Amino acid sequence: MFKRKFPLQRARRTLPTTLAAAGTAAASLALAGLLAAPAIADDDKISITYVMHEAIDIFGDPIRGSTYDEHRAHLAQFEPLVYDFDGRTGESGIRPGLAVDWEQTDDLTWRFHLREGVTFHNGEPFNADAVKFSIDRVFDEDYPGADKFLDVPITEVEVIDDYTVDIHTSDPVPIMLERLSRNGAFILEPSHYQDLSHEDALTSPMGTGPYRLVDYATDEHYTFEAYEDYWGWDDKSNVDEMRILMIPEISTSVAELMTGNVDIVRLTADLVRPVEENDGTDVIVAPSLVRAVVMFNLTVDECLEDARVRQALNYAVDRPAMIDAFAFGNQELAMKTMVNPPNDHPDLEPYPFDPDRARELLAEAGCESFEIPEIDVMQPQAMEHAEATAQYWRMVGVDVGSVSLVDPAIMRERWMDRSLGVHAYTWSAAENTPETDMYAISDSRQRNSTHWDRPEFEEMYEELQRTVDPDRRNELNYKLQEMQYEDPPGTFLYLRPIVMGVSERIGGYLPHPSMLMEDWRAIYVKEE
Amino acid sequence: MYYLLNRIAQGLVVIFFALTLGFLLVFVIGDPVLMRVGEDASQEMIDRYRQMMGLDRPIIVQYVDFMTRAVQGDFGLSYRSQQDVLSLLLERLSRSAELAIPAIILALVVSIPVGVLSAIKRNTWIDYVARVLALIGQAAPQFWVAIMAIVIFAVALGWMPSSGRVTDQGFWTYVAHMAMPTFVLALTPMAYLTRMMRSTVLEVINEDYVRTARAKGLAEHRIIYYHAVRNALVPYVTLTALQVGNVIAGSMVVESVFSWPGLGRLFMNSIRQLDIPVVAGGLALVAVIYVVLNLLADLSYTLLDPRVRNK
Repeated sequence: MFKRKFPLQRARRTLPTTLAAAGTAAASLALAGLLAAPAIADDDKISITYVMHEAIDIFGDPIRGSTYDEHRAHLAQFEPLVYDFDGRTGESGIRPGLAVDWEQTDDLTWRFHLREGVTFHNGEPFNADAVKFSIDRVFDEDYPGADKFLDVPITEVEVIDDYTVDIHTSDPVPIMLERLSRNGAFILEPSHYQDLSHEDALTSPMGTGPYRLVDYATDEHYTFEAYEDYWGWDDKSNVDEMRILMIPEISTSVAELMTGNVDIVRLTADLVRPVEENDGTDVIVAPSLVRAVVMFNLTVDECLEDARVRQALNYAVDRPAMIDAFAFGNQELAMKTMVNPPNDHPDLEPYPFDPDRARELLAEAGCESFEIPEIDVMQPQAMEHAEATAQYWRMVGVDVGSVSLVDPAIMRERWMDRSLGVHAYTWSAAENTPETDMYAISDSRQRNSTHWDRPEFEEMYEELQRTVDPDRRNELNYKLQEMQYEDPPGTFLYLRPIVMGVSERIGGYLPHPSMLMEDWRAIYVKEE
Repeated sequence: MYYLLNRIAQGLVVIFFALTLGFLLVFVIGDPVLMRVGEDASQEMIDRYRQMMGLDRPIIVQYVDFMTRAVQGDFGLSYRSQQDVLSLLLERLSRSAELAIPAIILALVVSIPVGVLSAIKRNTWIDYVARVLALIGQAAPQFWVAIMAIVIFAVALGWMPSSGRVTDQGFWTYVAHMAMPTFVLALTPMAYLTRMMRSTVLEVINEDYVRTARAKGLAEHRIIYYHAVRNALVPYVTLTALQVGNVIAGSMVVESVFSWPGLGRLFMNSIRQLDIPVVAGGLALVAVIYVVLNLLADLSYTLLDPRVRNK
């Protein structure tokens, strides 16, 4: 049996053009054009191809990206002051980015010393003015309210000199560095953006990142070339061109990986074995901050207002079995509360699988056979744990109706007006801090569909965000977790491993645990 | 002429309702403003965006404005890409047509001879095989067939590329990339049309005029071609017109699996992102395609059936 490998270089077109003629005429013209001599590919160019599945509509304004894929695409072109991950080693933790050093000059002031000699893709120099422009822009009242990961009380960004900047806050911000590593604080080129409307900026990128966009076709591909003057290349860096190829269907992308046409794809559990067994491809199972949960909506049925019922629903679920089935059997991934390791409560254990205890608690609450009419599944990848959870709940007598995927168009509206029912999702904590981990259940800060509103929780959560003292932070963090454990707003299941299929020719690639980023500069092609 | 005008008028009514439906989508499938602003957006920001997008005006004003622009082919700009909607739709339509036209040609080329052969060889093994294959073609989900085609021909055998539309590496590479999606897209219409051709030929060959032709001593192939097939073409053409529309408008699954950037994928992403101008414009475009194809089918009756022509 012979295997013909189709070449890596694929469609390369100019920006989408307007076609004047419809239907058959246009098709004929396109076909006629194809009869011309083929374009000459640059065989010496080292290219990598990364597959994404979600539509990428925003690639010029990192703050407004809304999908995981949009966030990841942005990091190819833009950079933060500090990174929180190194794709070469897989280690998390704050490290220099566009800032080389930093210090807290007082509780309310952070001073950053900026990297010199960095230029934006248009050749303009990076300096303190760019930092001030980029952060001020997010806080401008005309700026469309995005998912502001930079949700910190910044009062002023002060330029001290060309390469020193002070960020002043009204309250202490213990996780300032983590927040500055996120897309909300990516640095933009001022002269490019100040003349663009907020809508035009969505598709007009200008950053300092390792790659710059040279060609794209919506829903097809985004082609980037390596930015030669990028400061962060190392000895192994050798990629000339990086392509993001849009393939909506995961099984198709796996076929492309196995036939050597693409280099990095996301996998689902059922597709791991064929990729493992295929010559020339590897599977990477990486640690993750992405949590699989089924959150309650306390207004769905009065039984759900009773904490004993919600505890019962946690006891009813067999986490070890679900982890065996969906998370490669790594039992350390079982969740206790919304807070991820290493900030999780050391004295709490994940709810054990105890259906008898679940039935007892339901009986105590007088809710032996109450009804959950439906489980709203917010993303396709949440379907597996939603269906399994529904079945476990049915086994202890709960009348669970349909488990159905909510269309994204409707889901966003229902999420924002808090009208989802009991709902299942996978949610990345974005940064590994207790504040961010508990973001989704804070009634004050997020569109919280659980309707789990606990003033005591909110008060302590607010204090945690402004507390610098590590001991007090731990105390608050653990108390907040105890509250979630005793009075659970959801069924916390497991951290969903990140599973990627990677061509053996690729080196330096480990996925970012949040799935919201990739360390693009670390990826290289091994000598063949 | 009256017949033609009548059909055109009917088509315009259909397009009018499609446009109205497209407009009403705004109020049914979700709030596009919420897709544009962030989750933490204040009510003030939401209101500002609603005003900017013209969605704060009375519905009737919005409707008149939408219809006035729509009849001029102006559906505005895509919320997602800020491109002119009509240009975007036509560009994607041409990509879908690259698959749809060969798919329909393939369906015709296979279905006519196989349908006729199946009818005239009724209850023989040829008929049985043709009927079973047609049934499978009709029943097998496109999604499954597409995945199986990739697994077998791209992954296991390595004969075909698995996905994408490649235009810069010569004609044959392009053809290789479009072969599998075209074939998968052709299966359903091929099956429908084969069954239709078989059943109409079966009806026709029992007609008196066919018996008369045989009694006159005409050669069997002339009887089949001049009397049976030509008369069977009238319902076949109608179904073909509908199938062309189905193939173009219903290519969502095939385009997704084979990562072909056509109208189907545009629709899917636009619906998910509540890109109402594209969804509404697309709906109108699909309606126009159906109406035009049906009109062409109706007009073709005048060629195929002298009774219609004389009437």
